[in-house]
Amino acid sequence: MRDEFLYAAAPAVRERFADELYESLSRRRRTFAGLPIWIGFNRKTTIYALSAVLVAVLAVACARELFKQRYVQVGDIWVLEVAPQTVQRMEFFGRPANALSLPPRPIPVAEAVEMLPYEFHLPEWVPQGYSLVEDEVTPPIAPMWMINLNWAKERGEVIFLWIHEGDAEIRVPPDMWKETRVNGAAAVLIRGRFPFFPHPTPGAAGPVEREVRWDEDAGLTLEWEQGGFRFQLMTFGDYLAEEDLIRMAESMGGP
Amino acid sequence: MNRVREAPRRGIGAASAEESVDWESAYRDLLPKVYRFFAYRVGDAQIAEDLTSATFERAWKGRRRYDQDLGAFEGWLFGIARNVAADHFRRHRTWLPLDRVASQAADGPLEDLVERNTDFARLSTLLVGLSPRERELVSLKYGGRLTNRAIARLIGLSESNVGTILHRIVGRLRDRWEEKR
Repeated sequence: MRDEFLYAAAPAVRERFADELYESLSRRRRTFAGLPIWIGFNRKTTIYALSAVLVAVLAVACARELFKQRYVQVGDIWVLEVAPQTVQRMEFFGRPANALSLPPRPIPVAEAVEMLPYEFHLPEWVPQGYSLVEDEVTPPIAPMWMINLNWAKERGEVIFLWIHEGDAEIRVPPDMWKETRVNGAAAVLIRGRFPFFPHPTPGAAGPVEREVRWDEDAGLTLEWEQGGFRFQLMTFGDYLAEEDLIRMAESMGGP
Repeated sequence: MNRVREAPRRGIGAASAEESVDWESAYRDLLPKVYRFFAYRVGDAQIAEDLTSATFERAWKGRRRYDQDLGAFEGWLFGIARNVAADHFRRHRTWLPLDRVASQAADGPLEDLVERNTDFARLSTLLVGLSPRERELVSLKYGGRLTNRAIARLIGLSESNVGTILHRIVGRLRDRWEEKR
């Protein structure tokens, strides 16, 4: 075909270019040689996999950040979902050293119940073996009209009832609570609690902040609103079923 | 040291067991062919080097996609080279000025270089007159040194068709080549 001129006119490859390209490719190989071969992926797949891991980590971090302050309304109750490890703030109401008045004198339970400004009935049903601790209690006084009652069993198991006025928010990790009903009213059932801690100066008043970790085994709390007052039934260990706590609450009569 | 002529013992050729391609010899054998393919295709030595680099880098990155059962490594590499060329022409729709043609000196004895560059510059001015399809065929055949069968497989024509077209193109180029002497 007499096409020799087409072969002969071809330019030669510059040695320097060939060397540089060779070095460049060799560097790429060294850079990525270990990881892709080790995990059986090529470079692109490895980058995708690492990117996916990075995105997942960021998503989890964002989710945790969001969960730090998420309010959920359950009827009239506000639940604030917080991280399992968080800073808890507690308010201590001490008595001033120069106070002239004496603390209220304890009174019998029946007398205390009579003083309450709201309708309250002792539960008609309590779990088997429990009985009301008939000791005297602190009288309910304005403005909170707070009363504490206890039902106990022989081996120290206690059901604690705390009633007070107010609408304090509940601080609980996201997966440690659920919504339920007590005589048709919205209620919150919580598993575990943040540990209580004393004031660093015994008897002193004022707020104290401390970093605490949620204790899942600390007991159950059933919390509901009735007549503008907050009712709380609490246990302090794993000795009572959720259903029993709800049944006891419902036997106190509904709104 | 001449990388093209003499393969080093360590580098890209030190392939892992699962890689069926001997990159050392592939680089040694195919670098000049790919480079000349681009030189004929674009008519500029510098751009030809850039596109050659791009081709080998793409091939290197996608080396695990190469399926030896589907054809020779040379055909696979030239498939990449054609895509690189197509990308280049999409981005740069203008043709190169003639004063850039063969402006890059190759290494070697001065007389050879001068003569070779002069020939390449002359040939490039002739290739400018071809259609893109014709120029690609010439580039694959005389730059890439591919057989008509390999070209046919690469661009989807029959082998005889490739031969006929090339025969016609070469005839025209030869006439003009001799006119310019």
